[in-house]
Amino acid sequence: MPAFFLKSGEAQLRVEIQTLEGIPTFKIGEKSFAPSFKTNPERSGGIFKVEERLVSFFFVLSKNKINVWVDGKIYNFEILERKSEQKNKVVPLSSRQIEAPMPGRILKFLTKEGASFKEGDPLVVIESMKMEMNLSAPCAGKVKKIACSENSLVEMGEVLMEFEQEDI
Amino acid sequence: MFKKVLIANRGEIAVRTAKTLREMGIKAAAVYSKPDQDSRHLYFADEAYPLDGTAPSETYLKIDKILTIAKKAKVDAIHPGYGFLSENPIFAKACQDERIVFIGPSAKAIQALGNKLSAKTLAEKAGVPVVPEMVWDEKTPLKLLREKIGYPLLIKAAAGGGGKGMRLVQKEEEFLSAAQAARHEAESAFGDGKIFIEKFLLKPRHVEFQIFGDLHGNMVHLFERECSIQRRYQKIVEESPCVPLSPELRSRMGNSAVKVAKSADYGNAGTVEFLVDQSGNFYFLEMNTRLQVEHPVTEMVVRRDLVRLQIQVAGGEKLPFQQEDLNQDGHAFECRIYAEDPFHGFLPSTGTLELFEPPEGPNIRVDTGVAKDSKITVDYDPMLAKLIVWGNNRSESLQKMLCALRHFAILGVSTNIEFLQTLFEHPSFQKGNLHTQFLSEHPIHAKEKTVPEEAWISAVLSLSAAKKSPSAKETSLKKLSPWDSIGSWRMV
Repeated sequence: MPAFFLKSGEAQLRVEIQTLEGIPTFKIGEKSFAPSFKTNPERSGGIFKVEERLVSFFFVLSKNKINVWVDGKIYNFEILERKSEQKNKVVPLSSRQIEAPMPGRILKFLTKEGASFKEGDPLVVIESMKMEMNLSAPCAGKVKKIACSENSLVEMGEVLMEFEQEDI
Repeated sequence: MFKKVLIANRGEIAVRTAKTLREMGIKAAAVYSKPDQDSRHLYFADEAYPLDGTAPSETYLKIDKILTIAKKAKVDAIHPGYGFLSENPIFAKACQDERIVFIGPSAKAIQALGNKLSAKTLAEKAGVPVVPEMVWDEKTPLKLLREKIGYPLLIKAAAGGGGKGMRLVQKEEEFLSAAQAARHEAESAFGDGKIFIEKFLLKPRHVEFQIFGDLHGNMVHLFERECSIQRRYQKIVEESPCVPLSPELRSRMGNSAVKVAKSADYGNAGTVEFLVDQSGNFYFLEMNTRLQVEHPVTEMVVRRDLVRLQIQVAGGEKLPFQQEDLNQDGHAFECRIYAEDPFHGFLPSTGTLELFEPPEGPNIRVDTGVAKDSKITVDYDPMLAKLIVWGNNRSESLQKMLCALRHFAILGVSTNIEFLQTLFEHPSFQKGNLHTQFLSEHPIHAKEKTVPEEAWISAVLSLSAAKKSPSAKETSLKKLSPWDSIGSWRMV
């Protein structure tokens, strides 16, 4: 019987799906459901009935992600083969980076490799949908590497620049 | 009347304008940039012409390209929409020189009223109060600013609107770097880096009046819109009427708006913006010499199609009504639905609209330039749609908006829909205690969402469609065998 985990935010629940006498039944966490339902893949939508209540929903699946719209709210799920354990990433304080806070176009670097800067100094100018934004230094430091060129398009979260934090 | 009109714009306003043109039996010619070659506005046009290029400066802002197409398509007139060339007097003049009607005011009127500085001078001359302000360049001493304007103050671009090039400065130390950033932003958005400084009023309301003039000297106002709810100086919610305006104040402001417009022989649609302080004093802010994004709230309460009126007036017809014929009926709200993450600094969100299901129902209107599968890119404004509702009074209209927001389903990009729901549930918003700093005074945070049972069930059920769903790109769960035998259809 296939079992997997669904994760949404901090919550993780084990899901089991099986067919009992031709009726799909599933267990989410400790609770079992055998709802009547209908899904329409063409419209990315569906409807189901639990305890006499009809619920309609929309969904988008891609890879191991499910985005669900129910009752005006959106929930994001991740499918996991096994329960994930939260690990804290270890980032050395001496090596840091500036990431793009939004998808956009790099207008200008206001510094160059090897240059030092103070906390709050503007380092990069990024533009998206006609909005311009200065990315400032979170602490004093020295530019280690500039990771993309001016006028290039960047994705959200893309590393624009690496720097070393100044010794305190 | 015109036989064919070119729409020099894109997105929802191009769709909306094309619909009215068709209703009037006029052919609509569209233009499109490379990223827009499959955009929704082309589906509502009778003809479509490419503008090679991507950036606005190579496409929708390119006067010679637009005019070449206009001549080739043999149009009688050009509707500029809002943004892009709509407030560009050089474009209005160029149309006139080519004997193509520009559906909007004359180049002279745009020049006089579209420039914020000369508009203020005209307003002052007409006896309409204005907010203290002054021009700034690198040579202006900081002391003069401190004495004439004082802090906090606002930096604004002389040439534009829409919040581009605008900065709020609290302290003198922050002024110079803010001024430089504003200048650069103004330069890249409008090709004109001129900026000016204005006194910052505490908690004013933004109230604007829709005015309309014809080419025979008639001018009326079509009442007000309250647009106080703004983020990054851009409006996100608009409504009409503005409930706390007394009939006396409304008529005084309306007459002032008409006076400002008349001072420049204004013809066609325009908007006169005011700030109203807590004691009910009003100040002329600026004039927008074009149709506004939020014009539908006025259309709902006065029951008129403003684009139709624009076309009629530009074609030389007289305004079909006088001031006394106009009434405000009921209450309308508009929400701008943006592709952005309101809980992380309203940063724009890009991607493909995997799902786009707008709400429907009586007195619900959705103006949009996108559809399912549309790509939302960094090239243009992040507005996906305008959701407009009408009710008999403010509370009925507000409930209708809440309901409509709860039925607006978009997946694929982040939107501000849940943010707007929370805003419309806010007690101060419901009471109508609005001012332009509302969102900084009442910051709306992401609600701690506990994931309800229905959402978990929906997630599991959506997997039953994994095999057939076109959106299921390489779902890692194709091996979930029980769903295979059942398929995606089962009785409810």
